[in-house]
Amino acid sequence: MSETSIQVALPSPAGKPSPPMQRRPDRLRLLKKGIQALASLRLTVVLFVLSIFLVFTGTLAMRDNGLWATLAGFFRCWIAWVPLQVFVPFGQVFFGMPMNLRVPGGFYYPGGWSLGTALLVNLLAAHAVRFKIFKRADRSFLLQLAEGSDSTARTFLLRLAHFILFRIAWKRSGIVLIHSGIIVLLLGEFITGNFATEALMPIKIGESSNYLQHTDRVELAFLRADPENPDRERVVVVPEHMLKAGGTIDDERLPFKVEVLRYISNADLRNRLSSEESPATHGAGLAAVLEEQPPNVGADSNQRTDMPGAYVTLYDKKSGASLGTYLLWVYLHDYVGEQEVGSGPDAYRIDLRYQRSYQPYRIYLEEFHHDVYSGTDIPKNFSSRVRLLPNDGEGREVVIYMNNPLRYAKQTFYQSGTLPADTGTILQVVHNPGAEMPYIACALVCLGMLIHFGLHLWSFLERRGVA
Amino acid sequence: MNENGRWLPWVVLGGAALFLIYWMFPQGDPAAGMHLQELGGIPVQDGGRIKPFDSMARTTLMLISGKQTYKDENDRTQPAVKWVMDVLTHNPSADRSKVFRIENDQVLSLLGLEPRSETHFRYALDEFRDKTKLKQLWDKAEAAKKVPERERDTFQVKVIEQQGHLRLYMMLAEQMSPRLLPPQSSGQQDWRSVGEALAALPTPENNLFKIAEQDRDLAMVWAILQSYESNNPKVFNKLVAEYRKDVDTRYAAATQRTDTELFFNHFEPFYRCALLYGFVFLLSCLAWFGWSDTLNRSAFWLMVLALVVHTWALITRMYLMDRWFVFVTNLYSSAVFIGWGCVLLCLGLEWLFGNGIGNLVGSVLGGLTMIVAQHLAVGDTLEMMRAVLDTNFWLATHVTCINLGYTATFVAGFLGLVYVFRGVLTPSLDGQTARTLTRMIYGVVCFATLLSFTGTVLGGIWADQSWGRFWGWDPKENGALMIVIWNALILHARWGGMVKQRGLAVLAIVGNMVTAWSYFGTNQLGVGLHAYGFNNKLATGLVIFWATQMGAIVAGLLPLRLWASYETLTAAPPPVEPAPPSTAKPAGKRRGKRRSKHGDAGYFPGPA
Repeated sequence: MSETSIQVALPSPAGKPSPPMQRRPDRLRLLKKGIQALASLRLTVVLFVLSIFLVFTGTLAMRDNGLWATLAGFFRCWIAWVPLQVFVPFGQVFFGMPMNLRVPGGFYYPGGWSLGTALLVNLLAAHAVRFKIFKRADRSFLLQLAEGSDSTARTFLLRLAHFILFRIAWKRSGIVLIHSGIIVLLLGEFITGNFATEALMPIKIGESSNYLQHTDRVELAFLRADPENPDRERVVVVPEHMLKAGGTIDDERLPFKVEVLRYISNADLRNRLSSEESPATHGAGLAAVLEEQPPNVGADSNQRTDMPGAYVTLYDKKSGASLGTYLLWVYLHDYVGEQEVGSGPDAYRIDLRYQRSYQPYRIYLEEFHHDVYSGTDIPKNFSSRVRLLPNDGEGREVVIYMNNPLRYAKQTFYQSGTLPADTGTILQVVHNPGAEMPYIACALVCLGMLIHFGLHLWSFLERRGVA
Repeated sequence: MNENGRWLPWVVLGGAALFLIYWMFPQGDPAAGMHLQELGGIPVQDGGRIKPFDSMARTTLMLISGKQTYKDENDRTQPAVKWVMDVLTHNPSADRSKVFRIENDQVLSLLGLEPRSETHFRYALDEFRDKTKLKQLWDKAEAAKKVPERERDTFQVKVIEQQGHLRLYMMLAEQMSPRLLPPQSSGQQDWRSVGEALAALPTPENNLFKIAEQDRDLAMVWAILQSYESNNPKVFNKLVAEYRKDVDTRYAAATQRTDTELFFNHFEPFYRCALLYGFVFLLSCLAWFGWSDTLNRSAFWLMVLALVVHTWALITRMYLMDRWFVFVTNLYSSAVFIGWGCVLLCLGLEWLFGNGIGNLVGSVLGGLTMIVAQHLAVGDTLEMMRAVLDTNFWLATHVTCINLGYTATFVAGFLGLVYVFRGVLTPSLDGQTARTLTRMIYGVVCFATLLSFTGTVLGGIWADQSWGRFWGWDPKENGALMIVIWNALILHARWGGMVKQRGLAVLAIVGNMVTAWSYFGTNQLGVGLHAYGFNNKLATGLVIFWATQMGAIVAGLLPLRLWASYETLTAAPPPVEPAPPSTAKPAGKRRGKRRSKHGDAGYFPGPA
């Protein structure tokens, strides 16, 4: 084996090492051995096999668990639990296993983070011990060059040119590029996995919106007009985790004491039968009841989200008297509007809604188009003509359509869907700090492969006498 | 080398070219009978595009019976156009022809039919035209539709399918399809069917001249139908010719395309290619037994000719869709394109190595992909693209690249198969051939890695452009990722000396399985954005393919002494053989120490 870059990095001691330093080279050798073991190609191959299997089981798991659960349980975690049940759909589709087959048990498996990190370590170790961008004899030359002790600018440049032309191992440059691209790609996925957010912004035609909806969680909002500024509203919200925990919520910022009787993470609304009991005593709950539904799997072909609902009882803060039990459901205001509680100046409106985050801009939907191919119902294009109105500054008109998003305020707005009966648009709003990394990675890897394979192909053709 | 054999490639090429020219000019319409071929050129609007009547008829018949022609009551093969015309004009012959393909035994018993393999499970409408039975079928289908798509069993899927076929028939019988009539005013996009146009007349009419006053096109088409119904070829032919001329002048741009498509339909270029590939395969097999140089050269040039036809067909499809550089729009076109890529790559290999292996693998893959494509052709293969997919740039870059990645991985896998089969079953795998094959596999895997990686990342960038997710962990994306990792694994295993010649071949065969999973398997799960084209037949085909590959892998892993080529492989190389080239390289020398007893495992030295 050749010398390692670690030895190069250390200032080489002149002459023999002194006796007290005797043990250091041993340790160094051990370290070197350790890194060499980490850099092993065998390890690479084993990690590849493990990754392929993880990707395969993850793909299968998506059928029953949905995208987000699979991401969290397989790819974006350190240790994955693989239930044997995930292999059943595979057997059903391809080998005619019975449709109602249930298989208990499962096994632990390294998750996406573990495999990614291991691959990264393996790769870095390999570069530490195996790939050298400079030809061996030229390291001291490089040091000389860096010191530039005896040179004027001109000789320095000449030396540099000579160095680049003749002393860099161009043969290795492809590999180095490929691997650095892979590193950027792995880091990019890590950043996306941890820091990217996705939200929706539904807007009706002729209306505007200044908030994002996070459909993976809800909040209970208490609203009233701001007495000082009638154009604005004052909102107090109870976050989802408090609703899920149940019990009584008493907070000085809330106008009422809230008791959560029941929270249902996915429910459907239907008419109440006359004979049916219902906890609700006021509002919409008198005419309707919630029916519990199984949780939706995240990325179905038709991408549905859960529709939470709840029954809550509100109490007056001072007297402690009950103000009634209300039915809440996340789409209720589309049917009956927000429900009123109390009367006069103390009246509030309550609403269970997807969590909102307010933005420093407002988007006004001027037009929305849903084109189909003539004579069919195959969608051809969806497009939204919107006016972007920042809180400070000039507004501008933008058309957002398929494959043509709007990028603004470090967010990207994509045409995602339509409101029922094409009454408006749904924009998907994404903030991803790692969004550029795959582009860089792709360029690096592709260039690296072209150089690497290209050089080999060239020398092959040359030897064949073709070129 | 035989001096006398020099003429053979020319003879083969010339003969094939003559056949092609013959196929290009199909027999025209009979002078006395109905000019149905001419009728086939009339433009109609179907599936969102303007196409010749002939294409629409073929697609409809294909959906119902699985074939583009049918046998009439007298067992004579007839074109799809005739069946559609018979249905449109309520000719009882249509209902007596066996066109409805029903294979599911439960659906058959529901309709009171016996499984009948001699007519390939095709039945005439008259055989099951029974009100109560049809109502039963209808009810079952409606009930099945209430079951979520993923939970439907085979019977439910089939009964819905059958109802769809009957619907298609009814649409024709009520003249609500096809949309034969151009829009009345120039601003409109929607073409009209005869039924719609008749209903839209301000005053209901039966008199042709009165109709003509209100709607000239309708009167014309109505008259054509009338003359067909009354079996009057003379009038029919005259009217058809007149109408086509009229439409040609008014819609010159559209009819240029429909005329090309009509020629395409009659020429059936992919079928002709499949025949040529079959012939190439025969020639390359013959080359094993002698006269190999001449036969291989003939096979090579014949494959070049087939590729020319193949390329022409791909370009014509792009012209018909008006999407240049977009080779792939659905599973069918991907199979056709992958076949093209395989043949091209194999021709390149043959040109470089000249050992007949490129010919063999190219012809097998070319032929196989044509057969697969034939099975994937459901409905219109030039269908319109859904909104998100409707972007030529990404279709031309990402999709093309990914499919070329599949192509290269398959070629590497089939080269691996050649290695294993020649080694296990024949004594013909000598050291030199083994080395050459290894070089070929290695080179193609490098190519596959580059293409599949680039294609996958381009897909990610497309996703980032349209959804804001670079990597959505969609099943199809994961499949592509698996191909990339697998190719990288092969290369790293090879560089690390973990596999040598045989191991490389076996790993490449596993690549076939991985690619087949990504290509067809992921769609079958019915999840995700790429969940198009679920198909029972495909699932079965895939399992069979996997089984054959597993068989080859097991054969490849057999102890070497069980191989038929054991002695040839282990024999000392003859003295005339040149030294393995890579020993000339310092990198090769260094790795040489770790290398096998079977000599240098590869040509391109990897990183040490």
